[in-house]
Amino acid sequence: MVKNTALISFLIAFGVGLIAILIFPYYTINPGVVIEDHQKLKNDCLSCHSLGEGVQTEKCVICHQLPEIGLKLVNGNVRSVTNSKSNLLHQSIIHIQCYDCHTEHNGLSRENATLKFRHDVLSIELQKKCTKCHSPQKPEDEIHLILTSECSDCHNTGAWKPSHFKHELLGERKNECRSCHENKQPADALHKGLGGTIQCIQCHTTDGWKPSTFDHTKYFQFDNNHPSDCINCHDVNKTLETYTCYNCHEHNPSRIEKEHLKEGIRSFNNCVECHRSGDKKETEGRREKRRGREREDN
Amino acid sequence: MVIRFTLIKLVPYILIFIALIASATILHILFQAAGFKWILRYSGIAGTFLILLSFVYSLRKRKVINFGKAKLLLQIHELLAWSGALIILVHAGIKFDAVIPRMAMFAMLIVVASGITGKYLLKDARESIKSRRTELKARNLSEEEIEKELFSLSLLANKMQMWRSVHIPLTVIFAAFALLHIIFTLLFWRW
Repeated sequence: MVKNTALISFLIAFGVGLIAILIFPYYTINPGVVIEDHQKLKNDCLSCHSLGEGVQTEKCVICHQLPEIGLKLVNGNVRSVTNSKSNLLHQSIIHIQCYDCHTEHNGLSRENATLKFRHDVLSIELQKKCTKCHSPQKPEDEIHLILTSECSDCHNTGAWKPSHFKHELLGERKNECRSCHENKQPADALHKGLGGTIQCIQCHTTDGWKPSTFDHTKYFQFDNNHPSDCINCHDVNKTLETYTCYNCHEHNPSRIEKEHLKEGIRSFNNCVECHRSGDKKETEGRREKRRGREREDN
Repeated sequence: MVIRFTLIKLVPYILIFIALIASATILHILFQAAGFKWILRYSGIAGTFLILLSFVYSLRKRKVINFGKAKLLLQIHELLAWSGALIILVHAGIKFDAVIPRMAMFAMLIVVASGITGKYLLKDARESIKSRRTELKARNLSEEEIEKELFSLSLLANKMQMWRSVHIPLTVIFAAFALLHIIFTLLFWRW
């Protein structure tokens, strides 16, 4: 008895439902209101849908021909306000599938029919030519005025920030660090003493502030008696290019002169030319060379 | 007095039903606000799967299958059907658009309400039998006489038979509308 009732209930419900769907498809199965322009098609589901295949692009382009999108209306008349950007976009889409960007049954407004735009539907070539669509949005700051390269060299289609700036894009101006990195020079004694003539690029690279190529050992090696305290040898208020060893009582000018003349060395004002460290033995080789050179000069 | 006592006993069952609708509505709103439309879309499949799984009890009841204890399978049936209904309600939301899916949803809610009623009736009948048994024992009747007396009452059998004659047709009506919804979704939607 229950079995029969169940079977009859099922058949009645299914049959009535099926008939209702076939007669009133829009009211029985549509998942939402179609846009105003498609209202006349609302009861003809198969004008857009293909059974088992959803909404095929082939059906959309019967009315919405790609070369005419943005320029002409569906009825063939020229639009009063053309949209060349939309036209370019629709013609540049690779493997075009309308449902990637557009939807239906989402309300009467046409705006509801366009989902969030995805750049990856565009050809790779157009993806790199951002200014084809975004030309008025180029920032007018100093760095963007200098640059002539494509936005895509630094920015990506996901978002303007973060960007990956490449200094190479600045060409010859890439070494003018201070023009962009104003007031970025460290306030330590070493950098304060460099003066304006030294360029950052002489020690640092555009890849990063560290590691820097400056190596004091090339000029003089620090040790316990000769610590890396700039003011011991340099006048940090002027420039670090000059130095003196006479700030230390060990290096008395008259005694130094006497000792060097005794060894036959007359040119001894640039100490680090021979003394690259506090190690006396380290100068032996250089001293011989120096003597030889001075003899040749005489 | 009797009505009041019955209403108090019904409260937990009514709460189960209210909890279903309330939690589904809250989850639907939260997922929609968070932009998880795909969860709302695919939860229909998950819910349907759970409800189908709950029919293992129905198969056991009709001896189509022989494994598992009926009592345990009934508990699993109740849990899976309630959870499946919850997930389907999250999928559907409380709105009134296309008629067929809405009919399926309302039929499902009626089936759940009917199921909860059955749960109540079963418990109530068991309690009545238990109380009647205690009463008969107090009258010093033998076990055989007690069983005979209880059988003649057929409290459980009668009530549940009546309930079944409503619950099953409601379930198949729900199945018919749900099937139509699924068929036409498969036909028109892009997978």
